Amino acid sequence: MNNILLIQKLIDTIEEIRHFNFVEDLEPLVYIYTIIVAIILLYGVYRSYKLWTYNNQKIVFNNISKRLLRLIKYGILQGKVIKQRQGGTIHILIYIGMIGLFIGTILRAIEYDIYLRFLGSRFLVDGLYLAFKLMVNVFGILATIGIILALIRRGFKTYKDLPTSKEDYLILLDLLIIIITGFILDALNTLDYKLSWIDNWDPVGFHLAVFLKNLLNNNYITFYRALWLFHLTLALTSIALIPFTKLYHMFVSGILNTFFSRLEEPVIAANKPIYNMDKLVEEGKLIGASTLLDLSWKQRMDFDACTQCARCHNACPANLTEKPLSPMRLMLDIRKEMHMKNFDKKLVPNSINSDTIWSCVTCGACVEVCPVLINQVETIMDLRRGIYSSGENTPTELQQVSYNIMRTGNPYGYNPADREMWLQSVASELGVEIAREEVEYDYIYWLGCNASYDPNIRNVAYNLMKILKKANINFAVLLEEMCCGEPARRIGDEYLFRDIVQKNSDILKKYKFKKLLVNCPHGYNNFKHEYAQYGFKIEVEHHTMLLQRLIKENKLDINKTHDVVTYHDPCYLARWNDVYDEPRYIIKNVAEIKEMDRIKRNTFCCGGGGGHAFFDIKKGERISKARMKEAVSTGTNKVVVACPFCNIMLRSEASEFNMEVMDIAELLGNSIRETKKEEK
Amino acid sequence: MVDTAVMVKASLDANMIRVDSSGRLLIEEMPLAISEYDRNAVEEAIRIKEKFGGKVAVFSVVTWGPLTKRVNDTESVLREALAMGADEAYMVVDEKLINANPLQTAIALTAAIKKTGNYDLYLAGEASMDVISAQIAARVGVLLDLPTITFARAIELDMANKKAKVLRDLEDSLQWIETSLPAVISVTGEINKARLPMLLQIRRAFSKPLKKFTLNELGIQLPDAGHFRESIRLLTISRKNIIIEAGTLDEAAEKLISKLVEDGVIKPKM
Amino acid sequence: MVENVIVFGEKPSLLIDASGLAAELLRNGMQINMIGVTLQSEEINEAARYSFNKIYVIKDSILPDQVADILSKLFNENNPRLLIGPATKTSNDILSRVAAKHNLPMLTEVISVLINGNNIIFERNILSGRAISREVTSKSIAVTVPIKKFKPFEVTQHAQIEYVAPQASRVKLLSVEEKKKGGANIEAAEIVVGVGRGFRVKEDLKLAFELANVIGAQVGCSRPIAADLKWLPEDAWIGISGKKIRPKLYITIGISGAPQHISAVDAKVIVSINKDKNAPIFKYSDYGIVADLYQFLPILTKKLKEKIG
Repeated sequence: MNNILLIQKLIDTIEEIRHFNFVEDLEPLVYIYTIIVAIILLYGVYRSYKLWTYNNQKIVFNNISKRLLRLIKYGILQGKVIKQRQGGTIHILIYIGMIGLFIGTILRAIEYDIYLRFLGSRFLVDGLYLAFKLMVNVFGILATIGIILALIRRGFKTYKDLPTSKEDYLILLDLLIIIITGFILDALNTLDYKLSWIDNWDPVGFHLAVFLKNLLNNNYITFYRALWLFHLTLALTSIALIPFTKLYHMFVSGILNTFFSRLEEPVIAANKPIYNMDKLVEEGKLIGASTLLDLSWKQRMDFDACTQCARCHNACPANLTEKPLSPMRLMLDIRKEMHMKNFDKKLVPNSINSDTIWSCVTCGACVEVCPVLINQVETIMDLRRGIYSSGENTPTELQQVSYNIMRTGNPYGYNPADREMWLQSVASELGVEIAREEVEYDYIYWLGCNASYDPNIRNVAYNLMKILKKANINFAVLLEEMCCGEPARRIGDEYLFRDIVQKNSDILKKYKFKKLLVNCPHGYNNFKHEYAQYGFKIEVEHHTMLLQRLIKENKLDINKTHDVVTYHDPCYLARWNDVYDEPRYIIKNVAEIKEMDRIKRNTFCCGGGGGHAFFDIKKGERISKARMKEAVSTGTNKVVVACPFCNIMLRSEASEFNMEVMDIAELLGNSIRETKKEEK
Repeated sequence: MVDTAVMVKASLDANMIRVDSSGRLLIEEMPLAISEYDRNAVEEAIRIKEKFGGKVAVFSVVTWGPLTKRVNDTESVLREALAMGADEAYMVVDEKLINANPLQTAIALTAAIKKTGNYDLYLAGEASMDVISAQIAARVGVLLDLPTITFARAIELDMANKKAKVLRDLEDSLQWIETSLPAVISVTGEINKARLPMLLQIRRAFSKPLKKFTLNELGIQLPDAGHFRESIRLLTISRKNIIIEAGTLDEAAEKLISKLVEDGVIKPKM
Repeated sequence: MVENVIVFGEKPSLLIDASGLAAELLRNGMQINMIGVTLQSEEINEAARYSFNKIYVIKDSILPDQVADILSKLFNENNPRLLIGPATKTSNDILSRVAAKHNLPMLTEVISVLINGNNIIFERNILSGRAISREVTSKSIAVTVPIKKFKPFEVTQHAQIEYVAPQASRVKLLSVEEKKKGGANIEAAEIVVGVGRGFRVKEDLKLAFELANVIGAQVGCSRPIAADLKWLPEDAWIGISGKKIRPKLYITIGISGAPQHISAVDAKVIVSINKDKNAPIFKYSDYGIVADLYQFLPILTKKLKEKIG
């Protein structure tokens, strides 16, 4: 009862906003200064536009509705920003706070410049005014807390390797001062025309007002005017300086980069096809990127969008094992060259060490964690192609890989006759059919080079074929398999890759089948996404997907064990292709899983991708060792894998750590119960 | 300016052995590759060209059959050399040269080389990787009547005086030998690390000339030296996979040692 | 009918060794008049006892063309059926030149010989020792033989020794340097010992080095030893990204057998020591010992020392 009366009393005493209180004569300043600021802002944005579109790059404006959704999900709703707890929380506080304050300012401007000026009315009155006041208070407090936390975060270095410079502190302080002076100005206004006030709706204003009243007595108009000018100048100047400071991220990263982010799957965006390679080769030109001229407007926007949050830096297996690659550093180094307008400069090796580019294992962790949708791997791959096709600054081991694929059809230089002999003997032992051109199969099991030649991985193929026979799957294998081409592409030999796609397409076209079955996520990713880029669409399944289905449909009889194992998610399966539930489903039917910390889409690479199964950057710790240490920390002594490269890489660490490495097919193969029919 | 002729062989690759189900060696189905030390010779020639200017011509004789297939294989090898940086390639193709011995090969090579011009340097690998006869350079040197040095692991050219200093690598010693140019030199695998051609470089090299000669076009006849290869048969490739088992480690060691002596890889003191 | 055979050997000991092939033909029923040619007179009397009718010693000749010129003259004088030399680089070079001058075919490193009527049939290894080629000759031929392949024929008669003056060479010898022994050169090594993760600490590698010393082997290793643990320098690393080896004998100790390692090995005989009976290396080996290297190596080393010295 009392409350209602109180509120009624309040409403009776509420006034509206007194726009330009004490500073009516200074009103024109706002408009003049705003125009100047707008011009500077536009100039800043224009400057970026010029850099991004330099040398005939045209910004592509398509799929507007999809892009708007992107903008909303990742920009406005901060979809990926919040994924990192510390930074995400702090940013949300500042973000919501600043947006709230900004909306508050807009509402005032609307009331003054539109409603009052043209309609002679107000809307920020009564209850709405209370809400408005509260909103401004709350958001101001949120922003202030966020900024203070941000200062602490930087000052006490609570996030590893977060790049912090004077500019960061200055900007944070700048925002803090704007907010605090804003509060003071509001408080002084409260003093002026709200004498009795319920502090619930304007807590900061009220308390500040009381304080200031005591401090300034009634001589506050001059002080107000000075402070108002200061606040105006500081705020508008900060806006003008947006394109020239870190604040630019609000626009470029949050709005532009999310809106213009690539719509294809990140793995497809990272590995772009080149359709005019023959012409480039004839003209003696490089394939891939060598200078900023070769990088697209989108990539250049990426460089400007980097907010230096260090998330990719702290997710990158190369960086974490002290190799010379930090995706963040790379983006910023190229950004520097771009701002210095060094478009003609050969980036590698003049500004970027070739080792930096070769250190990348193409695991995609950087792309996964980037809150503003930068695709670092795309730029790395383009530069890698550029280095590779120049023939310089390329590890000879990788040139040997290309050469081996060219001459022997596999990256290791093994004898294909050896593969054929082995496959024929296994096929006859297990009753597996060698594919014939007239017969239609449900699956062609494409073994891939590791399963074809490496004795450990041959065991995986053996087990898989055994299981498939047991489940009566209609499949066949090919005697004439050539490397699927993935290693060639990853090391930057795009020309050879296209040649291989052509050759394998010619082979596969001869046979009739519904899907390709592979035991390798690299092959899976390659056939699924990358062959189509050069005109060959093919349906493909990874063996864990099929095996999961077989178990679900009760086609296999499994003996469950009391084993406790850990599962290592392959980057090319879990992160690039979202397949991580199926392997777990299979394993759980056999043993118990004790998970590592970095799993599923956050998996930590085994170190074998991007050509690294074939050579070593001899710096820092081996990535495979780092991952094996993580596996060991689960307390299990068996790591289950679903990829031959993971298998090979982790296996080389296995003896030192007393761990066993096993593919899912082997795990399952060992646990299949012999049915009564067979026992007879 | 230094003009170099390099002799290369499209050799069988011992890592790519193919057998039929009865264990018979299927030589005709095995791929050919540039012989390893010939690749070093090409690399050396390219480096000399990069330093002194001039041109590099590569020569090969098709000596494995069947002819049509091997002509393609040899062309592919020569294209690799062109991709590495050679300027011209020449091939001698003739049914009579199938299964030729080094005597005949050297005669064909010399004729082809003479037909295309005079060079300052004639290089070859010390031996081919499939047959390892190790004779071509010395034979060609005699046929061209030029000073010849074999087993070179370093070549230093002094074009001002038209001389070369060669580091000859013998089993127990190293010799520095000086020769006037032109000269014939065979190189070892230690002389350099050869570049590997990329597919796109091979593609680019398609515009470079590759010419074929028959024995008639070269105006030569092969001597009948009363020699031919009767057969090639496979030695068992697969490993014995013998796990030596014994009561004690001492006995196992003894067994192992006796097997190694038997295989001739360890020589007991006499 | 007596055939002339010229045997060359740069040193008398090599001359004797190379004459083993002629002795083999003798044993097979061929009648031979054997002429020897060598470049040194040290131990020449030893050589004179090995069924040569005459031995020429070419003085002061170290360059191949000098020797080839004289050999060629002797060839013209004697018209031999065979020109034989040891399978050394020196002899190979010299004989090739003579063969070219006289339109002779030439076979290097023959491993067997037999007579079939008017034909002599030789066999030799090709394709990295994976195949054998059978060669038939009916006319004169030059041949080199691997050391200790054929047994020479000792007689009581003494060959006549004649010294020949040297010829001029077209090239100039500037210097000769004897090669130092030691220092890992696994690519050229005839015997290699490979060490792997089976060794617990760097100091334990000395067990392998001791073994290597006894058999005159170079020591190489698998990837982790060189790349990660850095117990051995990079040029000891045997692998696809490291060095490739072509020894007669390769002994692996504590290596599991990754294909990237194995594919870099082209050995006549591979022996493996590993305590894991399922280690893949055994599939690639001729002889395997499933044992703890710490126990087995010292025993093996000791026994080899006794046998080889």
